[in-house]
Amino acid sequence: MTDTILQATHLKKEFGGVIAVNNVSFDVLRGEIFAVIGPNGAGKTTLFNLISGAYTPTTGEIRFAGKPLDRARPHTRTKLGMARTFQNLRLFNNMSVLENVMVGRHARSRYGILEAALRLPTATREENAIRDAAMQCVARVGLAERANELVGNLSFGGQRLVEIARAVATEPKLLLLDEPGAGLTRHEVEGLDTLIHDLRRDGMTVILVEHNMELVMGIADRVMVLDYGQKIAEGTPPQIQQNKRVIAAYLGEEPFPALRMEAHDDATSS
Amino acid sequence: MQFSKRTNLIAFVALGIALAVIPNFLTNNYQISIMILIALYTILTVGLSLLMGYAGQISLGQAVFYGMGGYITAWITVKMGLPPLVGMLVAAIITGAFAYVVGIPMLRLRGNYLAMATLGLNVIFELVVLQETAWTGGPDGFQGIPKFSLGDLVFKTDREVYVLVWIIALIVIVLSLNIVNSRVGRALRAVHASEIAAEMNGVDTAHYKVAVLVLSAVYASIAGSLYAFWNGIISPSVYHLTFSIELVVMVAIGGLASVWGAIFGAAGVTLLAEFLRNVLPQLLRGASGEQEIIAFGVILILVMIFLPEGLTTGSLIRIRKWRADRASAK
Ligand SMILES: Nc1ncnc2c1ncn2[C@@H]1O[C@H](COP(=O)(O)OP(=O)(O)OP(=O)(O)O)[C@@H](O)[C@H]1O
Ligand SMILES: [Mg+2]
Repeated sequence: MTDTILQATHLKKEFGGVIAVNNVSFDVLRGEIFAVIGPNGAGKTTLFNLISGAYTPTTGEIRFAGKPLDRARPHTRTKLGMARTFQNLRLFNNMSVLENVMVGRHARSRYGILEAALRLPTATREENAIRDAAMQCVARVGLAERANELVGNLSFGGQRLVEIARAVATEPKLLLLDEPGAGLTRHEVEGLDTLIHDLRRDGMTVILVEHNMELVMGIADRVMVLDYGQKIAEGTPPQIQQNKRVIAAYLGEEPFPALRMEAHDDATSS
Repeated sequence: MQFSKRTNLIAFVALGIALAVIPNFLTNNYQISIMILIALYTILTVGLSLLMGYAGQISLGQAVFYGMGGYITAWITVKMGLPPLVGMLVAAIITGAFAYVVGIPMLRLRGNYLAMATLGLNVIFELVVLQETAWTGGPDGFQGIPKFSLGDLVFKTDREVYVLVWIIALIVIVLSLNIVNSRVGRALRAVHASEIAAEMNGVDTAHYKVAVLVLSAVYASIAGSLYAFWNGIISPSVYHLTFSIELVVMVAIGGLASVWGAIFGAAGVTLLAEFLRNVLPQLLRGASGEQEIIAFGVILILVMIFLPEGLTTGSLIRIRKWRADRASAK
């Protein structure tokens, strides 16, 4: 068994004239937390769309657990063990928190329209299993008390957690998180940090797209940096923080302000 | 709107009892025939509600499946001399298969494009039915369709047909409520809310869209067969595009994502249509039955403005909110 869970080679995605992802290659190792950073519009979400099958690459190849994905549709990839969350929340607003997460169990259950219509014992049994498994995922992100509320009633941070719970419910081997920390309070980000660690401990590999550098640098094993669709660096967090091309790509804006601040705080307090 | 299993059960039993009692109060055949129509429209709108309200896929062509059910049944029973039940089942299978074949390309379309495509299907169907006289009887209609029967049991009088159509409508309601409250129902609602998120969570969206279209087509076909048995003759005017639109209106007025709403919509619109047809000409001198269409339009607009979730769902949401407000005010 290979240690590489995901392998992208010469990935390219063009929209009309815009090249959103340009000749990007990288490997993600089983069990690691792999972060993808880069300025706005760098192509991070597009990369996720390619991996998860929402878009087909213009050229290039993606292998998942050693097998090429080719044109496999997203739901097939979910079944294979891939899940993602969305940068712009895409929850099922017509459902409760629990029901949202129950949809995440879809790929891990099978009873169909006939069994459902006739309410056969197989359907009832599976339905209970779906509910239990989903409830565990809801509890895991700390939303057990709000399981039966309409998902729209939750705060932004709460809704982000539902996205994660729903993705986790699919039992992914590889979890793609697109800016899970955006719009969260400091306290919520800390919870997220712990949650991602927990998920990894359970054997999940995580690819994390995130602008919160404190979170990224604290949690990632390796970081890849995209700029204008191209990969400009890859390495451990310390390597990335010193990389001149990375600092230049952020064009004068402090790429790692939170970290500097914290370093400063530490210096003064000690 | 989702109801608990208990609420559904209570509502279902109440409906069953009401339907058992109602015939005692009906004094003439006209009233019974209205109730029969409501049953047929219930079967149609429940299917359309699954397709439109739950899965979010519009169809302006349900009359096609209703028509196919009727014509195929007519052909099998009259030309081939096979029993009515065979006619009804074969019609449902063929209509379902047809929906599957046209559904695969059509359901790639979204919103208005899907509406236009299904509308086009309806227009083509009308033309075919009118032109292919050898098969369909053309404008004169297809005549001599037998009454429905199971062995020696013949559903001949309107009161007998009432029992038949409502039993089938109740079965359709139960099956649909079960589907709605299941993994499949969740998948349909997920498709409605966000197709991409549904896909990413393992839902084969293309499969479910086609599956629910096929189901709605099978329901429509069964209703079409029942209509043919009851009426004995079917003619193209029944399957006009306006009927497809009327069905959409029924579902919208009842409340899109609600099996119960579909039933109320079917009953409400049918009763209202009859009322207007009878009353309008007396109120407005010179008004013909045609003007009921205008009244419909006005009602639909008012409902969409003031109760966009439909009458049933919309009022329930408001009642619950009012109760909650009152409770929190205390
Ligand atoms: N469907 C699309 N059609 C056309 N252009 C697109 C599409 N999706 C993305 N792009 C373009 O591709 C580029 C990369 O966008 P992408 O959303 O991948 O960036 P990102 O790194 O996720 O940015 P952010 O940090 O703001 O989320 C942008 O220029 C964007 O406008
Ligand atoms: Mg993005």
